[in-house]
Amino acid sequence: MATSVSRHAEPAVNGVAVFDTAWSIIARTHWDTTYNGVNWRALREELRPRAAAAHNRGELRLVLAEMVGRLRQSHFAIIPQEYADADGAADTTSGRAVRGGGGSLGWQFRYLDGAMVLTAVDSGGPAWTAGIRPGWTVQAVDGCPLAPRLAALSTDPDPRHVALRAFQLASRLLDGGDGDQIVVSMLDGRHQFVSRTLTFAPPSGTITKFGNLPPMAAHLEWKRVRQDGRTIGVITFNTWMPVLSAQFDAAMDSLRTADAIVLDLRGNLGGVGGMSMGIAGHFVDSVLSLGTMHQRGATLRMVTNPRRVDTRSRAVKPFAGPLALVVDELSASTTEIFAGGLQGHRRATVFGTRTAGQALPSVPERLPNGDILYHAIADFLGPTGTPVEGAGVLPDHVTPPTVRALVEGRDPALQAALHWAAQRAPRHPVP
Amino acid sequence: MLQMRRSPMVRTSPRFSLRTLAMAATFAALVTAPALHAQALPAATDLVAKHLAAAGGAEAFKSLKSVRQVGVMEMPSMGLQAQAENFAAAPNKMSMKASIAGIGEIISGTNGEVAWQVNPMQGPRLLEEKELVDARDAADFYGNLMMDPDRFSKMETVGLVTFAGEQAYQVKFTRKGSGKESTQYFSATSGLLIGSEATQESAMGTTTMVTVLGDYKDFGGRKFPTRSEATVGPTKIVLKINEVSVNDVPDTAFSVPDAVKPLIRK
Repeated sequence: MATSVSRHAEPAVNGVAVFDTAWSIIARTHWDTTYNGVNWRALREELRPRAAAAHNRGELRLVLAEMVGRLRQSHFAIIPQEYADADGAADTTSGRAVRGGGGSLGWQFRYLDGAMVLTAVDSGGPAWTAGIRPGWTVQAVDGCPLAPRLAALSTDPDPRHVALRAFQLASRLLDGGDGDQIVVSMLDGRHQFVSRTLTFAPPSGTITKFGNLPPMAAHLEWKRVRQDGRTIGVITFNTWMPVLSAQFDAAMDSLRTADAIVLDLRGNLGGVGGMSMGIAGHFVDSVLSLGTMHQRGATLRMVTNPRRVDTRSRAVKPFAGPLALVVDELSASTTEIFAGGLQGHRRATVFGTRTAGQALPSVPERLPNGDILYHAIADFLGPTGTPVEGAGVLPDHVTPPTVRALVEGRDPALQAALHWAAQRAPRHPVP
Repeated sequence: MLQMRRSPMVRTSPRFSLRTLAMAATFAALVTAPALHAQALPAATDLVAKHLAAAGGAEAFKSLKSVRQVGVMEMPSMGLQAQAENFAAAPNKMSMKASIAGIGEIISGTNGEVAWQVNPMQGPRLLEEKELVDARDAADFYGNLMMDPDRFSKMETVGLVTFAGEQAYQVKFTRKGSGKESTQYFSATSGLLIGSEATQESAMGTTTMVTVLGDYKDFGGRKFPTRSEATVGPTKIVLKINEVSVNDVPDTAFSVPDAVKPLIRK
């Protein structure tokens, strides 16, 4: 959610020291001493002169990004200091009017059939109020067509990578601060071209800052849904941030008597891995391994903690009813560890589309120039011993969205999960 | 995905506090015959005595009934910082509170009977089996403080090595009861304990933790290290102690948290 004053143009100070630090951290912490086939020493010799020659932060960041990019693994990135330490100030350095960041238009979008499609619109949000509905396709933002930029992304053979990069692109273009305005052109459900000026609302949820990571909006919602005569609890949360743990625990207290539970984890890109063990513990009555982290010098199991105490310190039993998880290609990292782990133990049935396959445990470490080196420190194998990185989690029931379904107000993955949950819910004895 | 190394975060802090106080003594009769090459090395008991003397003297530590330490714990690789408070009391109690921005309050401890952890991300947990044994070893107040001889079945100086950039005597300890082994490093120059290497048990598995102790400072006639740096795999945790007080820890510091009580089998 962070948008702030760019420091790309600032002079690069001690570029070699920054480069050496980043190189050394990975040299020391990468779990694979072959560095995924990259000659790590030779790479230093190749790139170090470019770091020394970098005139500004932007150039240095490109060198660092190239270094971590050569590993061709997820969870390696350079996070600019201005994002990590964002205070929400707008970027005014480019000389043109720009928006702040982190505001909400009250919609969700995904890359679908080569376009950016609205998959959900919050009733009461700016988009809904402007008459915008699910299934509409974003054509242009502030007059700039989106299609050419999306087309440029489609060279990656993995459609999930394209979807993620398209999402990141659209997220940047469609970002703005509370009160900012944006003009969005769309094709509506009848393929009519429409244009709306929207005003960003405050971000929903809680703004949270976790260590060196940029601040982000974390939100959790839960509700009861009646389906086929059963009561299904549905919990949605967008990130695995500890600020949501207490909210999840409270939601479970409220849904403990539900017939089944559905967790909608679509678009949940991950967060703090340890949280998955506590959340999973709400659904298992024994200690289970969600998988294993293989670090250099340490192997650790991600184990569930069966939750036998509620938020009021009363003894309870973990939820034993049917559990469905809904995921998509933007369900990544901790979400995959959680979903893959419970699926592997047959405790959860998964719906939606194959997850991102980006599940390497990682940390955000600060470099001497203030930028953040986000780097993986472990491989992760699921409970069956297979890597989650790359493969991701394949749903038990693949239920992709379609534009037509969205326009008709349907959500195939969630509806399939609800239907399954209701069918699997225990039938109460007839008196 | 961020992985939160719960085990060291929760458990190193109290252990640090006790290692801070760690001193040693042993029954010479229990020490196995030293190897020929080790005969030139000082006896483990001598190293412990030297450490005790350098830290303020054995008598100064014998008078302790409890210790409270306040400091800041950092995980540099994640940019996390916690306000930490450790408590230890005779004969076998300890507890720790760490308040971390973005997470909340993590607590752990043992009252000598049961041991627990409460973590906002994972909920309350009662420690069992190896973890419980580990917690009890870590809470052995005089065992860690004075290294009472009856706590160890073996204590042997095995070498003179470079540890944390300093010449140090390497001493291996084996606890009675648990059989747990650890290696302690005593500075060849100052005599002070400057680090250790030991396995630690957690629900996530067994890991090896290397701890470097430093910046000894005087608190009421007793020297305590005010900086501990622990490394587990690729993760480093730094504890900086800025306040030490003794014999003022209330028993309530070791009360079983309400969230843990329902987990205790009657």
